[in-house]
Amino acid sequence: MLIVLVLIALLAPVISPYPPTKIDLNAILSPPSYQHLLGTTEIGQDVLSLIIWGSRISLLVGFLATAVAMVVGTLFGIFAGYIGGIVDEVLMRTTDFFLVIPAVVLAIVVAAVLGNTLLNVVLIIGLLSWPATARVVRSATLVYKQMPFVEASKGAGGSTLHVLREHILPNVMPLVYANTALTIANAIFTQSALVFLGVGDVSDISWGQTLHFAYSSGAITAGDYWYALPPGIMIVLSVLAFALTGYALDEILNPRLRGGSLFGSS
Amino acid sequence: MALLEIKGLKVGFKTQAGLVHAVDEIDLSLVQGEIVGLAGESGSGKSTLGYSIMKILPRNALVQGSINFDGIELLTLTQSKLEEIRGKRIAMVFQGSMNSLNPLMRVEEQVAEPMILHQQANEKQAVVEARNLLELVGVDKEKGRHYPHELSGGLKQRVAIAMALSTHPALLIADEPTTALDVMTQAQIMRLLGRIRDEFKITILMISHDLALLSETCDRLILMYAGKIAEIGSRDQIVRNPRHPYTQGLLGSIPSVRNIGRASSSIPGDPPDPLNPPAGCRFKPRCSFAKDVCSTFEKGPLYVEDGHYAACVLVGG
Amino acid sequence: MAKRIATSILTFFGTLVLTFILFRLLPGNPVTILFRNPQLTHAQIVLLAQQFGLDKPLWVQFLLFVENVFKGNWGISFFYRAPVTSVLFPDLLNSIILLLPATIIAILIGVGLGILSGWKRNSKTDVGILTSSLVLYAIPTFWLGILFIMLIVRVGGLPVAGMVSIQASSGPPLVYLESLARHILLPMTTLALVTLGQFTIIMRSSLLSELTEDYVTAAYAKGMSGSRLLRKHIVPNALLPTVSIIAISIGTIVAGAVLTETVFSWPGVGSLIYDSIGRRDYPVLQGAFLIVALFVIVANFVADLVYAYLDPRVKYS
Repeated sequence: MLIVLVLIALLAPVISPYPPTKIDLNAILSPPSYQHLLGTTEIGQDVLSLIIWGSRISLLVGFLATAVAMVVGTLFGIFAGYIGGIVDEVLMRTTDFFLVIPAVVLAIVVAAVLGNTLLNVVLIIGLLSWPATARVVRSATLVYKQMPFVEASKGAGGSTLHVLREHILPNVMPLVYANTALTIANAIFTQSALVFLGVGDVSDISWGQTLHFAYSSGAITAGDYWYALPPGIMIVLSVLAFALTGYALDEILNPRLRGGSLFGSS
Repeated sequence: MALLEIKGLKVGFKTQAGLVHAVDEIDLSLVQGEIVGLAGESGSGKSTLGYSIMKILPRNALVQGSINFDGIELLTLTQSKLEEIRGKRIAMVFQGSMNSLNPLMRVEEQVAEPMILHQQANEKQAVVEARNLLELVGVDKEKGRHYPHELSGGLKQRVAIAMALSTHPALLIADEPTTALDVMTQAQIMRLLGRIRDEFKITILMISHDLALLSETCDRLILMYAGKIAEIGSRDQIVRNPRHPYTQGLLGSIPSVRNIGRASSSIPGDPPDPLNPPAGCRFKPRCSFAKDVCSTFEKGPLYVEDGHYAACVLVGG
Repeated sequence: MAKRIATSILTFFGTLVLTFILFRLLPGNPVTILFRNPQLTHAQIVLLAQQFGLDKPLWVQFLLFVENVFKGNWGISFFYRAPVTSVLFPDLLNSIILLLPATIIAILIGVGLGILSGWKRNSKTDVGILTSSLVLYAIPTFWLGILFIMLIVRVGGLPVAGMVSIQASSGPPLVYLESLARHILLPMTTLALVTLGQFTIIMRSSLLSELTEDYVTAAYAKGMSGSRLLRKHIVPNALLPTVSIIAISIGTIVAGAVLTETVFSWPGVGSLIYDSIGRRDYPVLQGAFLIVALFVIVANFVADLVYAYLDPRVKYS
């Protein structure tokens, strides 16, 4: 599923029936037909081509924002957990703060204030989605900090940075990976919401953008289902794909007691 | 007449790897008012045996044989009939009782709960009763208002015992009642169980890996190895005259004043794979007296003296 | 508790700092941006600059900003030409009218389905509930809203935008309420649906992890029925982690509300944010963000109180 999504994004120029910007003035808001399998928009763009091309921005923002979140989250978590004390307290208070603050609302406001370039959107989403990673990494770091091999390395005169890079980081990375998929799912979600509200970059083709125009052009209240259904379905599918991958990774990487418990209605 | 009569009990667990035989062809009977110790290493099936009497096994368990409690066959009983016996006439004290109390309920409410369930007691009466019981097991009445996290491990264990005793059961199964407690508290809890037996005329089946601890309190001892009974007898018979090499090994690893200075002879090796146990005597791979005939030894415990049986070819006959 | 209050205050202080920095990052003179009023004379600009201390060092500006926030002096809306607070508060009330019932419905149904799903785990019911929860979790709020609008446009019968019809807004209270009820149905359903999926998933996994706890086995051994075990022991414990997750997701719910309001043109803070972005009405945007953040912080605090009430291990002190 994930692979299919990525392939669609990569092969967009090949598989897309029309260039996404191509306007067919003879087919404005036309329902699905052989010429336009998923119909057309209010300015005659091919919806199928739009969602194929849209996958590029949606996935790209998802990946890039997640990369930002992973780096920030891992650094915060690892330093808070390893150094402890006042550093931990300050870093974790900051994390809690970002965890509590309504991220999407903040993103809307920030994007509105700072301008809505693609880079800004990536940075905003990235900088708002690291707290979960930071928490997970911190608790894992706390565990590994106590481990004999870390103590040994410290005893052998390893510097803090050396210990973190050589011993702690490799051990917490699997947890970070498990978190990646969920963060990507959230990033795709947030991006589409921002673009839908018009604070993302509405000139880049993405699923959120298609929905934005479907809504603002009045096609929805006119009941033009072919315009609004496909991009939404793509969002649901990709969020589900990433979220399920995340859960599966989590299950594999944090094995807990599975089944085998006593009760339940039989 | 026996209070509890177990015949040909087999318990297996269906797993992805295959059928795990936890308890294999066990015969056992308990009479009223005795304390019986059930000893064995972890994985020997001793806890499974205890749980199958209460019928609180995981859903992937397969049970065969017969468990007769006071004239009632437990294995074929309906769920609702079973709920009338479970917790009322047979009660259980669990391994690690610090975790066997609900963290969100006051301890007196938890002690009172079985009375409300089984004796139609109203809540007020039951809580008054519960406080008396708590006092009896050595917990201050005021502590009844407390939540589990406010009590020490030893006190929690006492609460768990009070909980089990609240409906005056005929049989009490205590699964590792003292693990995770310090040695002083262990001794107190064991003494408490002994006193309870005297006062309530109750039968206690005490399950533990600690043979030394069991041999201090119990009237009779049963040793289990790899799902089977290795040896059974009165305390004196087992301690003075152990006949199964496994028992001898376990007794040898008990530190006592007598064998200070001698190397304690814990048994080398590991218990067999429960998925496919070795044919014949399952202890053979670890036994220092093993012979060829052991591979074909399939009999149950053999007669040693009155009340004393051991499942070993070395026992004559 | 004192610590909780301190954390809440600290979080709000952090919000103030963030807001301050954010709106000072705007290119250009804050006065001309915050009061983008072409009719302002130069003298008025200087006066406003003095009033907001924009001629002073940054930290003094910040203190003045905080002071103004607490005095209720949140600036003047460029678009409405009215104090931000007077624009904001009627909309805040409208938002709460939508948000509160939707959240309560989502919690009740979500937690209920989670219990059902966890208790009947691996059954068809469980798979069905879990799958639909996951899909609901993955559906973007605004898209679900769009789907409903398209459906209703075809079927008819319900209004798809606004809060009350124009005729009803000046009609008698009963007519007003009836119109409100018809208008709120779709946005409330949308918001409740996208919110409840995650609660179901959390409650289910929390219930499953409680099932493996020892106290559950111990309680079951008291001889109670499955339903009583679930009601009295498992659910209260499983609710605890769910409550803390609900607290964390309040921010997400509010975000969902913003999107829902936009799609259904519900005259709340969310729609106001959306409109203000288009109008570049920064004072309103700043005020709206502050009020949303304050709302989330208070809601979190309430969730902490609920948690402390449910869990005796958390001290009130």
